[in-house]
Amino acid sequence: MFDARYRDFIRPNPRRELEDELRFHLDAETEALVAEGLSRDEARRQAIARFGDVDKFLGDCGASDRRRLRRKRRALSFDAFKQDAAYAFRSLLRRPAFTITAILVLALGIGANAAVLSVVDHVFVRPPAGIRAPNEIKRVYVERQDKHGSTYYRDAFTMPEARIIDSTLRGTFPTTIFLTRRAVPVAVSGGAPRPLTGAWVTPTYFSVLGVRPLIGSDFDREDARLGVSPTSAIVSWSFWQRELGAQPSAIGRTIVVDGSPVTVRGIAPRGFAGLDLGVTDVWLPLGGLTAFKITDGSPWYDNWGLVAVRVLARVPPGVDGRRLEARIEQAMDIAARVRAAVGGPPGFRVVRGIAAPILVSRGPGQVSRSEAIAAALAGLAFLLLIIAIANVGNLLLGRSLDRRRELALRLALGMSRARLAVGVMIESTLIAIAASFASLILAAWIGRILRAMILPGVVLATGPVDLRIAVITFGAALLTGGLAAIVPLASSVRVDLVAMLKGTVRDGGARSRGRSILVGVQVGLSLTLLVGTGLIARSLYNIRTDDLGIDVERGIIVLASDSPGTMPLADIQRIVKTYPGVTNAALAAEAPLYAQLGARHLFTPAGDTIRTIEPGSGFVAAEPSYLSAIGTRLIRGRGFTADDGAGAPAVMIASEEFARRLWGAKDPLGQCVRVEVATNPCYTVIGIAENARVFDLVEDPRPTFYVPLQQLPYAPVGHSPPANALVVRAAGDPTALIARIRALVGDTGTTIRTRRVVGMHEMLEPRYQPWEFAARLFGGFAVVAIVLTIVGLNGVLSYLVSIRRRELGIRMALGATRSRVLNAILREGVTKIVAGAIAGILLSLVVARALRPLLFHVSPHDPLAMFAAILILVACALLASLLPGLRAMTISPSSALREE
Amino acid sequence: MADQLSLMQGTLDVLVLKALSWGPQHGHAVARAIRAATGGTFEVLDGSLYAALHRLEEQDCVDSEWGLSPKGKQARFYRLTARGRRRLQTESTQWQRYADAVSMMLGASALPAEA
Repeated sequence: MFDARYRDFIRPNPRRELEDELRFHLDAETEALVAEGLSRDEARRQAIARFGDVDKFLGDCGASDRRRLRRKRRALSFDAFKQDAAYAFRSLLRRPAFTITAILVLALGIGANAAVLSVVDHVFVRPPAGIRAPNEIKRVYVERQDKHGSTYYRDAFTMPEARIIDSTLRGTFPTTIFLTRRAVPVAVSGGAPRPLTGAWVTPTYFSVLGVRPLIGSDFDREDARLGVSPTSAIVSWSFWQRELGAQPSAIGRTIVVDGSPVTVRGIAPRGFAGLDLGVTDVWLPLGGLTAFKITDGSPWYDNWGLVAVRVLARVPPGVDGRRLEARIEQAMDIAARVRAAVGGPPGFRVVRGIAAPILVSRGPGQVSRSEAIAAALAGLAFLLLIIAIANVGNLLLGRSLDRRRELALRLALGMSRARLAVGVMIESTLIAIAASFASLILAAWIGRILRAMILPGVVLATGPVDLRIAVITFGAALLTGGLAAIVPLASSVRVDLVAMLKGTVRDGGARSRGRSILVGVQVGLSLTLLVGTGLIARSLYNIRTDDLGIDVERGIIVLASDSPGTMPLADIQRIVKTYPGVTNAALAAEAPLYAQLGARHLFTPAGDTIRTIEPGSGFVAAEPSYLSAIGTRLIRGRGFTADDGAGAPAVMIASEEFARRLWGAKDPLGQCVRVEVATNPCYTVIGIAENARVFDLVEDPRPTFYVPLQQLPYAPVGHSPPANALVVRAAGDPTALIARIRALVGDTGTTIRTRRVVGMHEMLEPRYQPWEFAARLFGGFAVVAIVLTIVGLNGVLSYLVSIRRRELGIRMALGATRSRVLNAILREGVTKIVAGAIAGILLSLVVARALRPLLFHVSPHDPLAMFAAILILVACALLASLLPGLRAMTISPSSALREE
Repeated sequence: MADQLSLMQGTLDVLVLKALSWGPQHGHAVARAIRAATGGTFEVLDGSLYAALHRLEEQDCVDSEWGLSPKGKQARFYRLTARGRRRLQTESTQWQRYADAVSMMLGASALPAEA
């Protein structure tokens, strides 16, 4: 009776109910027919006959009952879900500190990744936009081998080489040659020139890439001629929009590129912004390039020493890429023979040709510093994400432990464990959704900073957060939210009901082990970041304090100008010398840090080629006081004097490296070298100068020698040798002096590249950027990681103390002193990090190897960095255990014992 | 045949709803009521009647619960829901108009003159 009435409430059984209903109906109908006067058997038979097909009844009614119940269940479970979601939402609101921490931690992890992704994507993954079938386009590389047998890869060629490659490949593989320059001054209709990126290309450029001008015409055969100044240009869509009013009438307008007026002949389609990381704004015929000046006046495109251009080829579908490589080798063979025939300088042996993807970062060449940073960054961001996941998991776990009585109560009231698990999932999903919005804001912000730091001066085609990044971020947020929920999920589903309700759980058991593992993961990753920070900080310090061999703090460079009407350098020199605070001003053939003259061949006095110096040496031709103006010290011998002039005996000062390479242990003073041609005058070494940096902060010592400007080896006879730069040395801070000289020469440039007067420190400051940047980045990440780790460790220890409250109380009642209790907790805190720290040290060995391009005079296994990192970590562990330790100290034995 | 069946189904639903409009009934009582009220005009198998009841329950037009029959037996009682009441109203109006129209035509003595 009871069963029948309530079974529907407990668990509906439609089939049995139908059978009951049928039985009742047949009984009732039989009764009714008997009452009408039929015999019981006859009545029964008629009742069955009137009912009709029983199986059909069971089938039809059963089906509609099942459908009805299913719908009801769905509605019920949706109700339950709504309830759970509302409950989760309320309980998150009730604990704002927990909620905000979890959201921020997750947002930080995801936001950093999204930001890094937006940079890494452009550097490593995404081929330049707007190209037809970008995978068919190959960048031409050759692997070369120097005479020591070490090989290197290069995608840059001299123009004669590139032309031979072009003509060799062209039959099968559409080929183009190009050259990109940044900060090219471009002016529109009399406006001030602005530094933009320009590409000089052969006429096939656009057709090979499968790009058609939106309006106007592509380059044609006319534009293939070399040495003809350019008459027309194709501009980018964004340039057209920005500068030319986005009107079709822009075709035919004149713009001034690099000083020469050209007509706009075409507009590139929207979305195509060249092949380099930045956005290219203007394309010109390669043959008209005038940026390179060769000392002997010959055209740059015939020069076998000027490595400047790059080559692209399209591999048509169905053609084997290896055929392209064979052709490249064939072309380089021809190039080597031509080079020998025309008497060009010897090139290195070509080992093989390589057809690589367009993205430079995917090519075989050396990893650049930006690429190394971008890669390290991706790794760092990923580490941070794992830390964030571990931490949010830890927070959720701590929370579910806080709520274990409530959970146990809900379980006892009949809530299923599955529903409990759904509750935890909903909570973490809510956090993840909030975090993904926060992380998009963070990503846009961090992304902008990262781009400015890693790719300075590069305008990327898309903003830091585009749809693609947003979608990935959202997905990552949900995924990480789910991951973070796994540990608490596993533990909440295993709640020990009885123990929890009675409040007699004494040991954290598996749950505190889970938390300890999460803490261990964080410890390991934090340590890795700390070691990385230490290594980079040491590198930065080393490079900042490194002796460059030049004094960049007080040196000023004034560049010569071609523009008519500007003051000649010699006049500037005369005036500047009268300024107070100027200790020295010397003219030089080339500006230091910008360019250096090269001597490819050196001969002994007897006329024999000196082989130990290949592939040649750099040299400086300057006035006598140049060395003291630039701050390079003379180690032995004497400097130049005014007597070492045009008619005097030829003299030189050798750098240490130059002397070592030419004469080894022998005394270089008094030795004699002929430069470039065996019959040139022999230069006698009168002094030895310290090695000085020529172009960059980090470079192997370059063999260099100095000669008086008047004795420049290939100065045209009868003319005074050209000086392209004036080096001025200030007595103190050069800032005011730089401003004064700028005013004097009328320098209105706004970037280093467009200025004529530049402090040497201004030139070099950007070169420190990779280290500064990496140090800040690693430091920032390490601080975040450490803070997260302290939070996590503190949580675990607090939990342990609360669970061991009774045990600690008993111990204290038995006479344990408070300081011993504190010691025990601190010890617990430090031992918790041991395993993580060991893993962290191993991991940091791997990470340090990846950092190698950034390390300067520091071993990747620097013990000091590791020791410091461990010390910091132990200090943090003590800090994290202090609070729980103090809490343990204040446990009152009597109240702890009374609790049960 | 198919048309007839669907017509029958619709008709049966209205009859069932009507039978329940006087108050909650178990299936047997509904069958008896229909048979008595229509004077046996329709030959309805009781099985089809139950199919209609369950179908109506699936459509939320009736509700059911187990209770005691007047003779003290466990029986499933059906009750009209608000939705079922509305449906009965609309469908009985439609049936009325349908029947009126048909009987008007069949009762007409001559073709009406064209205006």
